[in-house]
Amino acid sequence: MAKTYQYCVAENWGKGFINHDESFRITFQSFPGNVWQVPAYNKHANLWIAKVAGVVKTRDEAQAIVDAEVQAAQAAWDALPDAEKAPAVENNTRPTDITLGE
Amino acid sequence: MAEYKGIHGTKIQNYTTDPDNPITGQVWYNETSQTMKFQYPTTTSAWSTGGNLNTARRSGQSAGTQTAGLFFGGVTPSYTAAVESYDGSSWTTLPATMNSARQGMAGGGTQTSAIGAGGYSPPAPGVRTLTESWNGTAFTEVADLGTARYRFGGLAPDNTSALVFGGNTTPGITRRAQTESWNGSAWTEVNDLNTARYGLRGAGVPGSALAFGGDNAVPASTGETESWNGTSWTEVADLNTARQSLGAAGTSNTASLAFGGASPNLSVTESWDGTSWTEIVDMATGREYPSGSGTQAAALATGGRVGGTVSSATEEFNSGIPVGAWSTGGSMNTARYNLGQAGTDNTAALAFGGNPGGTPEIFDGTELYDGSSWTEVNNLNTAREALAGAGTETAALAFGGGLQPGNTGATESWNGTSWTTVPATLNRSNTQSLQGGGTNTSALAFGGSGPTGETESYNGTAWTELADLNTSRVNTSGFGLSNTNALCVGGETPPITAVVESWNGTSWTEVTDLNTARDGLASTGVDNTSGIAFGGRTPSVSTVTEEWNGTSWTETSDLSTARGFLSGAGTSASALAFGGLSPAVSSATEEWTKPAFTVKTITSS
Repeated sequence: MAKTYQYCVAENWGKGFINHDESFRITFQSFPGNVWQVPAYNKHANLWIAKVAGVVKTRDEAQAIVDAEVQAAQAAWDALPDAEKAPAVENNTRPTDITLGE
Repeated sequence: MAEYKGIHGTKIQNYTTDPDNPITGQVWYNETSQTMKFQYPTTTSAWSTGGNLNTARRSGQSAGTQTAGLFFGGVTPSYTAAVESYDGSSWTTLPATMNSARQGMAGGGTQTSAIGAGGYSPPAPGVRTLTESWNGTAFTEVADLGTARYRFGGLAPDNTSALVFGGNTTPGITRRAQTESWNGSAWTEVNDLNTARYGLRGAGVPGSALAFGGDNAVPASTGETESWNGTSWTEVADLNTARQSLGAAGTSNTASLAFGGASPNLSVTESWDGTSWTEIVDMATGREYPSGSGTQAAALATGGRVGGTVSSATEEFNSGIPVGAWSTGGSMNTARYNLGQAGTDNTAALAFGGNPGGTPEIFDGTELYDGSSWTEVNNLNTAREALAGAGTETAALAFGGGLQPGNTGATESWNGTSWTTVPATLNRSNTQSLQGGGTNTSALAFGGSGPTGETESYNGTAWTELADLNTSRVNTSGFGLSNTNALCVGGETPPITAVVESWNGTSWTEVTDLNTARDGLASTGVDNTSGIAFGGRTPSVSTVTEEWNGTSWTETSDLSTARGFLSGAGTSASALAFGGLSPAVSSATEEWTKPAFTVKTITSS
């Protein structure tokens, strides 16, 4: 089955990293670890990856990067004092696992 | 599955030719070409990345605009009192801090006058009534809220007026409906929300506000929306995507924006028009607990949490962005500037003459563009630079220019294969750096070195002097349909000018200026009611592109290569930019495309 997405690692440097035209043409999704998901087989997505010097990753490689980041965030949350965890501050919930699309 | 008729109330219409004035979003079937067609929007909305926060965090409070913003408090995951200001490009950490670090406040304001009320910070119970006022330099504690709470909705034009509503208290979860109004010195309780909730957001001003989203039950997010008229809340249409911990921007109960939220890491953006929410473009960084500021048309999303990790990402939302873009085309065989041009669109253009940047400074080469590459064809009879051109790639006119030294008023006609020098010459003595438009049998020459406002009309046989431009200028640009219809755009008087004039066959009339004054720019279009202008010098070389609709200029997508003294051909929907100085002599070609239709062919599979 043809893949829907492609992944790369690129650090968001801020202004100009994604401009309006790229945003209009490409559906972006970012994940922990500077992992970016963009459409596969897409000329504009390929041009954007080149512009930001993105390092292309397979879906499994990208998943491993995201998993490591989420696990670190989960460990940091686990180490918080009980007073800063739910239910007293219920919006400070434990980070949840993320599964990337194919 | 929903059918088109069920959604729109009508079946798709069949036409033998495309309708004259399709509305945005209209779908029809062209029986002649056997294709389904869709009217593309002429403008769009989009998010783009802004400068990153210096301190990544979530659940802070925003104030201000997309170009003058403020952000304070939040969770890093430690509680922070840090304050940062935004200038449209980057965030700067200010020396001032809040008196009390906390998250989940409500408030707003401007970069120099803001308020943050309530919120949460340990130790337990942690829920605050504390209100702090920002004067552009420091936060000062002012009168407390009547009801301690956090994760509530709010809005504030500045530090003298605000409205806050909903929220949560601890221990456990106690959803609140209370609304309080701030007059600059005290909070007053006013009418409650209809639905108690927390994790909601608000937008507007104290006399015209909107409350939306949040958590109103366990475990459930809501899309419920309520409109505030200055006195009471009324339930109106829900968000399409129920959510809590979202971001918001807006100026009234008829113009608001909702973005992001949980659960979790939503990127969905919805726009409110006073009646309903419409889903529009997604954020690039889906997130929960972002903070929002600005307006429905120009908003800022700041910070938040992505996959359990606090974020420094900022995104800027803009609506009304013209649809159109430059892409790289095939390079010219000979780099040059001050060249002549003719053409139809971004697949068919002619480049001739110019200055190749060496010795001699004049050139006779002609090249033809086919949509992907330039091919050398027969040369001009008279090598020259700073000349003007008119017509198409199969029927062009070259006239005037500099010989370095000296000038020429010589006129040559292109028949698709070769140039023929015609008997007619320009009447003027100084023929350099002029501009032209029209066809090879009905052309106009105007402006030029001096600077001059001289205008001459060509009828296929002879040049005739007519009324001058109101503003004499050199290094101008322009285009036109014929010798009775043209537009003269920018140039140098000196100084560099933004002045634009329209020709009706008899006289020039000044019309709306360019937004960015430039000389050495290029412009192209079908007639004096539709075109684009691009590149040039401000005096720095520029990438700026502006679109002309017959009434006003609108900035649109920039060229990739900044340059002056370039040339262009085509229309406002399909154009070509080529050559120029950037500041090196350039052979770069860029293709402009602004889709009028996106065509989808019906297949049986």
